[in-house]
Amino acid sequence: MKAFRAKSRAFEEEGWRAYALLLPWIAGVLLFTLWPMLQSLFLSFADYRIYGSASFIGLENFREMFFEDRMFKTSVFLTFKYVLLFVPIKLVAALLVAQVLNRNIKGISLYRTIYYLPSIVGSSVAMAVTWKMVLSREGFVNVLLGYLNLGPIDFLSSPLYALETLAMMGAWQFGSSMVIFLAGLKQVPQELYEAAEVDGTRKIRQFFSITLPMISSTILFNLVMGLINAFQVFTQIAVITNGGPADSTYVYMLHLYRTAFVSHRMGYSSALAWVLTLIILATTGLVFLSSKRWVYYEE
Amino acid sequence: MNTRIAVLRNPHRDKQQWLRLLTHFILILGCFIMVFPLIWLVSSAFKPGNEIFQREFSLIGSRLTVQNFIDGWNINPTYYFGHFMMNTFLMVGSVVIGTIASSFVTAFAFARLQFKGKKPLFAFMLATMMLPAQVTLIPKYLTFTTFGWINSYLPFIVPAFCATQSFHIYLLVQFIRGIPKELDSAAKIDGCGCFSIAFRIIAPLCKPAMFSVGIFAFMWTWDDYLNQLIYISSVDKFTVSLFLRSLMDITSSVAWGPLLACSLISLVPIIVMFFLAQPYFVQGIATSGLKG
Amino acid sequence: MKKRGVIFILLAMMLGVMIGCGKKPVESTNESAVAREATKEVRFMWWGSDARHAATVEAMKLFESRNPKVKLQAEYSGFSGYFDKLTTQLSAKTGPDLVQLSYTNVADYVTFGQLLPLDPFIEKGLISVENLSEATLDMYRFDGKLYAIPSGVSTTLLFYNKDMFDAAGVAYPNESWTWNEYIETAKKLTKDTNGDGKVDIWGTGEMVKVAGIDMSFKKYLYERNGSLWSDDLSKVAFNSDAGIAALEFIKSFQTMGIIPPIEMTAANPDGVDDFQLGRVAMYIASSPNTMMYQEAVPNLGIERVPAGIEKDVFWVNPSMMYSITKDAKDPELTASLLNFMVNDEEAGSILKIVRGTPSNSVIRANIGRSLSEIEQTMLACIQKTTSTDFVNEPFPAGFMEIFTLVDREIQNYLFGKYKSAQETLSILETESNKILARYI
Repeated sequence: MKAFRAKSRAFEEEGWRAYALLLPWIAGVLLFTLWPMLQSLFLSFADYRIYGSASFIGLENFREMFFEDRMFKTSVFLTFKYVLLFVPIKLVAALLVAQVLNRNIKGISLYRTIYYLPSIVGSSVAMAVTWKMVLSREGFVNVLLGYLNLGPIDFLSSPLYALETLAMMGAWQFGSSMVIFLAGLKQVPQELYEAAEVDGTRKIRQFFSITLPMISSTILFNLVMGLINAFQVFTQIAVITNGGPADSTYVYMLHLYRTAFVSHRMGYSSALAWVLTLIILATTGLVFLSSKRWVYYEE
Repeated sequence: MNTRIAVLRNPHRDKQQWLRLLTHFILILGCFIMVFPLIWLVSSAFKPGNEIFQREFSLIGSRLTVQNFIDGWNINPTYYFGHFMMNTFLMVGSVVIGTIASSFVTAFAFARLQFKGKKPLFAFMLATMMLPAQVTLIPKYLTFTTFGWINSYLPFIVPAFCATQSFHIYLLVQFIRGIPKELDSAAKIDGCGCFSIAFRIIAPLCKPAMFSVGIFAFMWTWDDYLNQLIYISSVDKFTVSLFLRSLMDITSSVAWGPLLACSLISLVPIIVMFFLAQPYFVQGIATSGLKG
Repeated sequence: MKKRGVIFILLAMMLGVMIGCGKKPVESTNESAVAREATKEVRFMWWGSDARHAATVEAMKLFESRNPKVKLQAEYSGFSGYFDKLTTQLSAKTGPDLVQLSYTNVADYVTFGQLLPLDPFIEKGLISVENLSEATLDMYRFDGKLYAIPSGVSTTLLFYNKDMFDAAGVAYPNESWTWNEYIETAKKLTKDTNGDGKVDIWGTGEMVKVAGIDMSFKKYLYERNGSLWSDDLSKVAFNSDAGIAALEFIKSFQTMGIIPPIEMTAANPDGVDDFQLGRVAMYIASSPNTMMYQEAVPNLGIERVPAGIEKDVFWVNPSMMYSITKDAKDPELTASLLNFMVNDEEAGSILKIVRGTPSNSVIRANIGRSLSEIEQTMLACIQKTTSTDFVNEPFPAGFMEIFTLVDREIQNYLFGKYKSAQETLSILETESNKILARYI
């Protein structure tokens, strides 16, 4: 009896302290997350031209989106294409390099730093400008190709290659995922590998049977973060190609931005924002569901 | 160690050395891919202005020059380039401090304390990570207008002190979970209250994760071009990104030399900061990115 | 390790000090409240590059020196994102006082009631329109009220690289050129100059990025007796035979190979075009570009564009507009600043041609002497440019969106996304009408 009461008193006491500590976060959530979200939700069922007042129009925005808006379908398709290119390449590159770096080779911290560098500078306007010039016809890459007698490739200015190139540019910043993989790899108990060596298992088999399962939770983390970022890709594409050439890089966020700031249709763009949220939730939800099958947690 | 074993070991060692060289070679190739755009940027910044486009394939132009940097520094009629760097440091610095402080406090509550509604609140916090930023863009702008915070850095700083980025909270939560609870118990026995434990025991131990949070917050705020664009309108408050973009205009000529030089300078703080915080940074991510 | 920690603590302290000394909102509103009693503030927003910024800031300082109780706040940026920012500010009622608009989108802002009519200020004598072109002003009258004043005038001109002409042994363009002569000359100038088997100089280029609709397409359309809009500005009228012919004319340059491959042109960085890069021998562009072409092309020539096909089409359009927004705190003071920028002679000599050739005819004549030779040629071409039987169509509200839409789709057409001019124009018609419908 006494123990129970003591516990519940301790529980209550901790309660108010916790909320005291959580006060900034709660304030932030109310002001900067919940309230804008509600506003945005309302706007998605309204027609709001940023100057006047909003008028309720029910599901009209969504009807237009799915049945009339030709650029909507394009943007969804292109976004998925980007995601399917960017995420696997980024993860595979990050994992491979992490694996190589994990062998206690000399200069690991230098390598780690250099591989991480793109992640730091990658999202800046400065890098966008640089890439645009480096990949142009007279740019560095094409000059190199020229030495090998390969014709100039219009990386960013041909509808055939632009989106793929942008996906590669995004994957170029795999350093952040790599560092997380490195940490995950370090956590794999050495005994497992030693036992496998004794058994005579080949290195490659070891990778698939030991390494991958043991870092599966890290893979999940990187996968989910990668997906979320990929669906929301905006700045680099807006600055470098702005949807072109020939609308071949017109991803979802560009469509949303254009609807909001060029067409000034706040209601419609809010609707677009919510549809994107649902797409992201659905995709990551599926990943989480599937993760029950392949992710191994050390309890 | 007799000679027979030594002889047997040799071929294996050769193969190992060969593999190691190959590994290094591939890694260095990879490094090159990682940094060649930056190398290009550096080389162009030191070239005479009109050679940047004409001869894009040469590493060094007809001569090395710092003229671009001088021009870039002076290019704005009212302020030196340094003014914009200072502006950005001010804004980003405040955001970093606010983020670390608020994220820690929130993370501590989630990681160490028991309270009603903890599970749903935690789930909610994670869910907000998936919210596309554009959803709240316009409503937030309207909110900040009502407060009168337009054309100031407040729209960045105040939310930072309210832990609006769940990613940082999550990072710290995972890290704190890795700190042995025995430390807490020991402190309690010594008579420390909850807040005391938080600030005197746990916080110092969280330094690596805090540095990670700081670096991320620094980078993301520095590069947050869109929000800077809509909230900052007068030149005296411009950040570096806004200033760089202002050097590019569709309808008149672009000063490419100074633009590249200033771009290069603008990347330096981030790179330096990263090098300084490297050890903490990696440690911080490592411990938190793991546990699913 | 400890050292690093110390460094960080020091940095944090430094930042803390900086924040402490930074402006806090409460203090500054008090400050400016006190200040406001003594001085009045006017916010002026514009876009441009450093040359324009420097000149404008200098002109503003001159204004301040003449009006000691006035403080001018300069808000300038690049072109990209400018109108997004302006619209967002206006919607939150925090717009600037004096604003620079494009000559194409005044109607957009008028439709939403964001601008103040300027007639009251003209009547009070605060703004003078004596030396401005009446025809141009008419374009910016809505419901009989004037909402914007041009800051300068420009026109499309034919720029050419004299060195390339000399190297090919071709005669320079002249005033009486026809389009056929233009094309023939372009063919002669398209060649491989460094002997590697690939063409590297093209006769001419096409502006496929910015202002496609308003420069080339519009001219070709008008020349063939087409028009952009229906009479009541509610629908587009360019999906017509004239429109198809105009679009096919543009496409023919590509087919004939006298313009660089579209991938090349589309890859140009913002603000850098084929002419600046020395890829083309001729280029039809807007007159304010003279300033930057002078730097890029050593031997620059300027001539008027070929006159037309079924009819001669020349027009002078405003380069940029000045307007007063509804958020202006002191409209009359803002109006006098506007007047200063447009009509003041001393300001005119500072600003020169940063916003195109001055719209005030007196200033235009005066600065002639301080311009370089090529700039004077440009000026002369502008002076000669009038078509007495040609009337410029006004711009309907929603033009901004249509502008970028047409640019994009013409680019798509040249990329081969659409198989025919008809297909392109049909899509443009549907989408543009949708846009126009939203603004009515």
